[in-house]
Amino acid sequence: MNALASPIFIRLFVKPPLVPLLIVATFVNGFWSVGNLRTLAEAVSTDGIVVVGMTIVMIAGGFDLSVGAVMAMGGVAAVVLLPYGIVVSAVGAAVLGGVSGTLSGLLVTRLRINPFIATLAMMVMVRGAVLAYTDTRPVVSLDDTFLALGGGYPVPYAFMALIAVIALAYLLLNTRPWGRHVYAVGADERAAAMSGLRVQLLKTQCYVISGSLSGIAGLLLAARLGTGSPIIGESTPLTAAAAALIGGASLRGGEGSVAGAFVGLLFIGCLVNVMNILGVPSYYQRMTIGGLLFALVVTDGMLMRLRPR
Amino acid sequence: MAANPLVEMVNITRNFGGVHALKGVDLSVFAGEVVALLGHNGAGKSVLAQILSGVYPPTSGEIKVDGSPVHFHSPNDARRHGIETIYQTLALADNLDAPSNFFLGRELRTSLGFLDKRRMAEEAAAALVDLNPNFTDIERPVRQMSGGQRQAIAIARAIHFNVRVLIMDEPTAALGPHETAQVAALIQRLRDQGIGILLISHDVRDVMRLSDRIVVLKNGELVGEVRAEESDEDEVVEMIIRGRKLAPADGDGP
Repeated sequence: MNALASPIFIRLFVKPPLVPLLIVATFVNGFWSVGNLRTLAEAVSTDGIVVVGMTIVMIAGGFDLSVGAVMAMGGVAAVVLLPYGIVVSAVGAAVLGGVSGTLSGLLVTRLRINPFIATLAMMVMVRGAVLAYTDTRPVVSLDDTFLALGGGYPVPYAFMALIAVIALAYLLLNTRPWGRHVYAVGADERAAAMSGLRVQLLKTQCYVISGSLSGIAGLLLAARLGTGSPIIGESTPLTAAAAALIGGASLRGGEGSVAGAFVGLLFIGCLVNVMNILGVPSYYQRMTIGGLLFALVVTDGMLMRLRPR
Repeated sequence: MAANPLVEMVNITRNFGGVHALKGVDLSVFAGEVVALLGHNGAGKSVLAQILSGVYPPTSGEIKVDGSPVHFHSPNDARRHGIETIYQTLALADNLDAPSNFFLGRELRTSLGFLDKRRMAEEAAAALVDLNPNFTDIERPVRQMSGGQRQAIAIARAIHFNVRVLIMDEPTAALGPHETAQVAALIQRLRDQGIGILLISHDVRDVMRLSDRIVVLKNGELVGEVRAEESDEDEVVEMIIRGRKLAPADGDGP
């Protein structure tokens, strides 16, 4: 096969142009310093855990707008549950996220509500619940173990957690029958059902995974900040979707990979990081990411029309 | 010849909302017998077939396999009783390769529960080459494959897993003359192995040639039943169009 057409080349040089960006970044002062790389790793790790869940849901043909709100819920829950021990706190964050994912999954599969609408509703409900519970104020933790979880030098613990989550998701999607089933459901639900797959259960499981991972991401973010904030994660659904789309996922389902999404996220992370170093105001950064997402959705649609069936 | 049918559907009805798609239909398939289900679009033949495949439960009525009542909640339940289906749409996942589609829902696993990709590729390749000697390069998404190759995958996976009753929904509708002849040969071969075949078609000529018994549906009701050798195209066409009721054929089977 032509090396320039190989998937790995495209994934690193073209869609997204991660390697060219890294080369350009060499000329940006301090990009390759240990301190900056650690900042970068911190910035991508919590979003990255969310991206893995979002990617799985998108492969199954769904979407999860509630990830940011669930992240906030996970962070608040983790801090509130800390007096009962770090294990209860972590399990609580993950389980609450999983419960929210279960509800999203049931809305989508049982009531047959469009995933965007269903998870939009979940997003608003969860966000509302978290704001009501905290009375809109962040909950602060001074627990040493918890705060240590937000550290790690030179590699942040959250980044190690991200790598572990990616590895597990990769194994699940590529080496277990379950992964095949998720891809099949995303490509053609009816064909999957006729082949005897339990489509509704599979889709619900994907939302549960997404919710749990968002809860865990919220916990790790709260550990880093020392605070469970009810307002964090507002732009997370878009960042996560952008990363998944850049990484080869599609709004039509059946496509995408966690490795690709990770590269997509690294690309967004590096872009933001470079813009930060260069002092680009955050509003312009948002416009850049938004424009990127727009361009992706447009090209995704165009590729669909061009693709041989 | 076996006295009892492999499968028997008794007084099957099926409503979709207020639409009565099936109004009490009986159907049986014996071992080594090709039963053709004929009728216009909307006569209820696909719904009847999909009830036997486990896609829909019947609204009322009974399905018996080897004489004992069964309840299918999903195609997996039907498959567990040896009832396999080749759907008209083929029901393939376009993004997966041939081995993944071949084993979809019943993947080969290693002792730790991981996909046994090598063994899946080997078994699928052997089964596909058996049907179509020119079928190589099976490990690419099936959306890149030809209609004949896709059909081969759908057929191969239906007959690979101890099939006893094979439901074929318009198996030749999308095929050229050469491939149609291949499917016809396959039907003969499977019948000779003692497999019961339910053939859904609206091509009367094909049906006369391939089947032993012909069952005609119209507006969700059984119009009549004839043995192919004792009938001719004209009679069958008249049954389809007029819905003329005939005395049911002797139910003792072949």
